[in-house]
Amino acid sequence: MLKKLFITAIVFTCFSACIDPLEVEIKNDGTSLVVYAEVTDQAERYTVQLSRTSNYESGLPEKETNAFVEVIDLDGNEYQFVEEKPGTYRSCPADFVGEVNGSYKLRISTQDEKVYESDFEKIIPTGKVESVYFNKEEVFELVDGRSRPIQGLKFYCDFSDTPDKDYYKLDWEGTFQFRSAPQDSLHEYCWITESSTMDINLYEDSFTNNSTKEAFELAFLEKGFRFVVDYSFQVQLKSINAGAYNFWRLVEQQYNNDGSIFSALPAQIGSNIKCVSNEDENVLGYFMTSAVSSQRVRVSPYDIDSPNSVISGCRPFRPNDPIQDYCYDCSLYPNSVAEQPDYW
Amino acid sequence: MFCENINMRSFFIVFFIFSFNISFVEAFQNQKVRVSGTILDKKTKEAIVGASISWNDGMEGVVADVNGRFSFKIEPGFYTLTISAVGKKTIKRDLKINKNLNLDFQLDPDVQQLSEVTVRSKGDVSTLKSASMGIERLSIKAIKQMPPMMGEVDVIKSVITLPGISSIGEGSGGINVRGGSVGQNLVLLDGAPIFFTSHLFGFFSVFNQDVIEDVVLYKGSIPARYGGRISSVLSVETQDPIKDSLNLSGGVGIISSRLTLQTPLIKDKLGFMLSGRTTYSDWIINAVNNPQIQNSSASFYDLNSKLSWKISDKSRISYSIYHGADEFAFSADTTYRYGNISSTLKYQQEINEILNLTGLATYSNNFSRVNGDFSKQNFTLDIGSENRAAKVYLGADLSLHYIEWGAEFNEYQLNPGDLKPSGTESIITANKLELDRGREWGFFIEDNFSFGDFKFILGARYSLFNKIGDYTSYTYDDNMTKSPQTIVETTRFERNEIIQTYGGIEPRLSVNYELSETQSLKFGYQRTRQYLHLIANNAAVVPTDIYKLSNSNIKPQVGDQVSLGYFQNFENGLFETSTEVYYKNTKNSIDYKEGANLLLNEFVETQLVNGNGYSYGAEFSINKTKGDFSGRLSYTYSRSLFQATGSFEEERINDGKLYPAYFDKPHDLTTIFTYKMDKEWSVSANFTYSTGRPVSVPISKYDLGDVSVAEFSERNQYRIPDYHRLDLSLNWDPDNTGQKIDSSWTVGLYNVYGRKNPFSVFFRDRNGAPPQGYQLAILGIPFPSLTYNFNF
Repeated sequence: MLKKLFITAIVFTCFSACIDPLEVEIKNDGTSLVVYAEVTDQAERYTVQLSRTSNYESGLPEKETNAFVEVIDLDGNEYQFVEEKPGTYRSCPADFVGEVNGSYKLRISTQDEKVYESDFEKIIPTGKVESVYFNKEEVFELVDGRSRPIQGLKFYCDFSDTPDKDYYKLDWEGTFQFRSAPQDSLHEYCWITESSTMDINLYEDSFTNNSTKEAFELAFLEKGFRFVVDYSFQVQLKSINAGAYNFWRLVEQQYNNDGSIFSALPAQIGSNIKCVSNEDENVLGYFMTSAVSSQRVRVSPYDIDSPNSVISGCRPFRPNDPIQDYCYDCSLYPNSVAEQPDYW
Repeated sequence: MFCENINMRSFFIVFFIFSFNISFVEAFQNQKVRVSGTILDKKTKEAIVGASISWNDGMEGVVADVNGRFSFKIEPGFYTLTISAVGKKTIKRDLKINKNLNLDFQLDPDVQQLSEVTVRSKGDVSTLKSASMGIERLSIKAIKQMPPMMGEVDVIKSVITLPGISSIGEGSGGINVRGGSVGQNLVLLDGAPIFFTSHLFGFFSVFNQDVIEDVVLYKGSIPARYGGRISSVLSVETQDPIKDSLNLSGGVGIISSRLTLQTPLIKDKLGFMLSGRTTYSDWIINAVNNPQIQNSSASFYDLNSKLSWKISDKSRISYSIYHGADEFAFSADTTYRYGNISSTLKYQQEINEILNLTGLATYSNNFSRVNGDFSKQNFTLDIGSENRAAKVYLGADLSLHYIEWGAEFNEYQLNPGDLKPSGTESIITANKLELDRGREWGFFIEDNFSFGDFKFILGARYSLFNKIGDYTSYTYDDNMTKSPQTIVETTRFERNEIIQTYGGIEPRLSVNYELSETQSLKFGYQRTRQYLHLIANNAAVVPTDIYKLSNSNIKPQVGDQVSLGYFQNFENGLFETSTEVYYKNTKNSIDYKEGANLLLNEFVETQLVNGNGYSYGAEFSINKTKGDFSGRLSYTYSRSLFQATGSFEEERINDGKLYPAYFDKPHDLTTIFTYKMDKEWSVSANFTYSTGRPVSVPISKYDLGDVSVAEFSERNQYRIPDYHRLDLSLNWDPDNTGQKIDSSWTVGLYNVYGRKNPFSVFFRDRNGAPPQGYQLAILGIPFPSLTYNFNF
């Protein structure tokens, strides 16, 4: 990958412990609004997350609650988002589904009566996922200076881009079925969904325009609980705007920056959202629009051998050993649901 | 355009008329007689650079040129001439001079003195007496006295110890001179520009100690014959291989080894040198317990050769070639290879007693290739810069005046990036950016003269730059920041068609006022112009750095520097002190938009931010040059600031406020000491302290889903912790008098107390720790070395 040019990582002369926490006294007062918002062309609930920046040495970011959030199209139609849990605002697909070639802007009115608006962002047509597949692989993880092999599956996809200049963000979502513990009389199976919230997979086609990109590496999933019964992996090829691409590129660059001689000097990451009431106010985050092409692949338990560590935890060694709640109801396992997904 | 051509023509005319007029001027000289000759090393028959000849108890004198030749005019009479040079036994000669004389001197090496001298600014007569200032001369012998890094003494590392010179730390691969950026230095090897000046990420410089004769750094008072860079000129000269016998020298160290052969082809007439240096640093990498690093490799080599022919006593010609490259891979899939090729053809002639001529033709090419080996995306990426240059200048020694004038021509052909798929399966689309071509002319004249207690160097350079085709030139909308979307006009220029012309006069002035025998006051002013810009958004020099010529959208940088110095010697010259202050202003200096994307960017000018650079400082240095204990203590206070002057938000970094450059290090203290325990053993120490460099740091964090992102401060508003480091070395140079092999051993320890000097700051959301800022030290441990050197 060409992007590796920018992120090549190691400074070879550093033998040990050359990386230390930064010892600089930071002068920073006040917090800024952080917007994490996405609208796609899919009939789904869109999410806008509002929070504040926080001191990085301590504390969880504060959520921005009780804001009025809406998306506006070029005709002036307004679609309201409803606060579902603190700081998380969601739309209703019955009211609003983004259209390819449509342009939208985000408007936020906060409790303290400040108004924030994004630029109009267009949903541009996306490419096409041709196939998604996986390979059993072993990667090495560095733990305490020693490398440890990890077995798992690496997921790839092939996709073709459009004849135009394209910027993509490739997200993934995986859902797996797992067998409940013998104590669970309510369900036979539950389902857990995990997604690429920690991965930033970007691609732009200036060096490969109008071709099929093969074996794009999406994720490496360690063997374990997730592969015991059945796993469904979905890739989402999202066409994003140049501005959004640049935003994510800088986030990724920061993510991969290890301070080595190859690293670019750290940058401030701009936003497409401004405070209407105060031009000088600093706003962070991005309002992203995209069209999505997706495809699924199923992983059977024969593809990789995995122990059901959760169920084995439900077998007490001694009669008085405590047993977790989810052993009796698999839907109580974190992020778990008992309803079978409709695509299953 | 037409107007510019006229200018150029008239310059030529002036240039030639001036050449012919010299003999006319000669007629008006008074009845002095001329003494000329050479000063050579008795053993090697080489010219001794910086050798001096003085009389009237050192009150007056001259310094020999690079060929060891000197020439001066003097009133007839009885004189005691003192001939001296660094590391050589001084000789005195009583003479009656009543007619033109030709004298040749040969100096013996002085083992005693060699170790006593650590760093000398210049020949014996010159520091105080010459008009120029801001000039540092290091002989290779002085450089060899410094504690080595990884077993190699190093030109660049030695230069960094001088006042006013700094680097941002290990791994940086470049120097900052008086608040200038790395790309503002002209580094010349035998007169040919070198772009990549270091190997192994700055740990070694490209200059092999065995072939180097002399290093001169001009940080002020840049002679008019040099131009094209704002901050400094670092001129490195290789040895002259004209000898009377074969000489083999070299060294074996733990990381690298070198071997140099110098042999006469015709004794004292025609000499040849071949030298090589290579590294075997891979073993260190493989010793690291980390699979990613174990897949890495790094190596470099250098080859120098030189053929030198002394056509007659008055003329000589030499041809030297340098080739060196680095190759490294951090993982099996990406390999970098980069380096320089340079060659110089040099002709020097003494036309008559007054006129001497120097002609140079150089070619240099720096190249960089990245090979990517990825499934169906194999590629090669080439980046490079080619430079062809010719320079001719004449010197006229008119006893009261020494006048030098000439012309220089540079042709650049830069390849900012050429991406090619490799193999038939690769889906990479070839992407070749247009070559960037330009021509630069320089015409210069400089006069060196005295007037009462004042000595002057008065010079001027006229530089002229043409950006030429073939080239696609873009015009951007004036009302918006430059970006590919704001192009309003695209113009295609044919090959050699002139697209843009820039130029102007560059005055140079140095004045020395001698307050007394041991005190002098100096003033200097210089203007420099730079048409070739280093475009790099890293703190360090890396192989993917590109160069860009000025064009309609990138204006030339123009630097003005004034400096004032006070020099005093104490205890009969045992201590030399200097104090220099300077102020420098650079117009059209370059910085980058936030998150600039520079690699393979056809519109790279849209990523740049224009502004003004301001730097100022005071440099103090005290030098003890004689005795068992010698050394130097220097302290520099300096600032280097930048102000982005763009009219759009993206171009106004930090809201258009002044901010420090990333190499701004206000306090810089360096000491170097050598203690000679006896005739064979000596110990050297080097301690350096400087303020931590400015960085942008994460001031808060925020979450985008599950990804923690840092909000970075305004540019360069914080500093990493201060840099300090102690190096020690022990030298054993046994008395080999009468033996065939002259050998020595050096044991060194770099970073004695293992200071983890931070190099950079980054933000990381690490497993097991809250997301936070980290600092990286490139070399956080003491680094020992052992080197065996020999010479026979």
